[in-house]
Amino acid sequence: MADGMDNQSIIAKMDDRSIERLICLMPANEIDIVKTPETGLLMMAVKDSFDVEFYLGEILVTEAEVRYNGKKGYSMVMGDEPERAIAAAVVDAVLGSDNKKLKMTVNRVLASCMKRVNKNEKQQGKLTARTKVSFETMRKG
Amino acid sequence: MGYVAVKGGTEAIENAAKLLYYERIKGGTRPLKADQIREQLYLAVDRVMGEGSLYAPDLAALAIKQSAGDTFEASFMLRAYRATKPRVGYSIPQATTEIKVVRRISAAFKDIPGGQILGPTSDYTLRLLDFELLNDNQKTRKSYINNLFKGLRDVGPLPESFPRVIEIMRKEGLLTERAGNSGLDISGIYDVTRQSLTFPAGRSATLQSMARGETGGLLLLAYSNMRGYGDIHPTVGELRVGYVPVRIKHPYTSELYTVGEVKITEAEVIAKFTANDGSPKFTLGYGLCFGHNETKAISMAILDRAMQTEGKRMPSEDQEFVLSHIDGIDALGFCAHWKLPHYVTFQSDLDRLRKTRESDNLCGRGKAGIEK
Repeated sequence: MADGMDNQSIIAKMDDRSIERLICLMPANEIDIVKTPETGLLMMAVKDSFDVEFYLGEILVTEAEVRYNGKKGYSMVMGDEPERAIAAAVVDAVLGSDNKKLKMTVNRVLASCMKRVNKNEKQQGKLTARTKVSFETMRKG
Repeated sequence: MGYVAVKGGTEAIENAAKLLYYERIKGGTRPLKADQIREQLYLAVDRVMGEGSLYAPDLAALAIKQSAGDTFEASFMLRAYRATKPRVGYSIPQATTEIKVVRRISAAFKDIPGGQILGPTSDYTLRLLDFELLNDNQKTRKSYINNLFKGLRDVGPLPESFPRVIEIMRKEGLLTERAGNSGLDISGIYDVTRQSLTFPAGRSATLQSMARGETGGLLLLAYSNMRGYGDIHPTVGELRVGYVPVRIKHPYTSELYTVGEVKITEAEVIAKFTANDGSPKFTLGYGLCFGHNETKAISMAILDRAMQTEGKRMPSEDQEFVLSHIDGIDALGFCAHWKLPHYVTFQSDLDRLRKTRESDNLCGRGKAGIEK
């Protein structure tokens, strides 16, 4: 994790090709799918300006669970995204395992993706920053 | 009143559905892809997600395509879809202080901490048709984007976070703090999708109902208040559009787990109020909804404030009136049902009217009588 972005946030923002590449890196024969990706609804709770909690609405999510080397991996991603859910669950399991080499590989891929995501978000942020305004109040008379 | 069902007409109904499908495809232009709708008609997608109360941009885009652009029907489809899916959990209640801002303005204060960020807005532009869009193509888009990104190197980054504008007034004790249900745990939040709405409704039920309300319905009621059928005279303290994280507890490690982020619009309106002791204070109305929908968030905030009015006189101040009439799918369903056969009930009314007239004629009371 770097620049304040956790692994799930990176995976959430990876493009489809990067997700495929990430899955290909994993030892498929050592991974058991405990729960195949399934869509469901997550109710989003929020707080208003008085810290009163309420439900804003539901979000379509995909959940999956895998097992790698005895370690469970869980994932919940937004949308109907079975591949992303599997990738996220496998990453969760691998990073909780003792396989240092694979952990390093996964971290390297995530770091590289995060760099791209950060660069893109920084550019978008600058476009927004350029709309910062300072209005002047006009004098009467 | 009792209703009598009708039967038959299956073949005609099936043909009508086929004809509806044909209406969308008969023009001969290239098929509209759902991802084009998601990217290029994003405000319609946001509106449908908000009113359908389901954050699912791909499905909202599909619904817009299927409904040929009717946002009521599209929202209805999302609601119908959600009814087929299990609820897998609840997010950790998220404060909007972590918002990644794409737009943030205040009509109350000129200089606000973090600055006013206009973001993507049409507020200061003329609503003139742009005929150049008729020649929209990849080449013109690329050129536009290249020009837009020029000189970005010299632009400083946005602040990481933006303090709430209303905190300025809070610090001076100028804002009325209302008792909320913040002390309750997650099971204490009212869920109008699981429990029938009863009145007076609590704050969580009120805000949830409005967050899934129909934009036009909310605007109509808020507009009535703005025009004088009510007197809150709101000022937009802050309007924010941006992305907030969605988090749950990891089921095995119990650590915070980020599922993703959703785009939201948040509005806080300020209105003056004189307390019973005669001291003037400001009160706040709050609006928050899925997607980029400023009209909805501001209308919601105005209605939130209007419904707190003491000595309610106007429709927009009456919680039961407001919350009972803002759901687009409810309203659409009721309106649409009038198109369905009411033959027997109407014939019954007709019979009664004819008999009354006949009886009046026999008694010499009828003016026009019934021609025979």
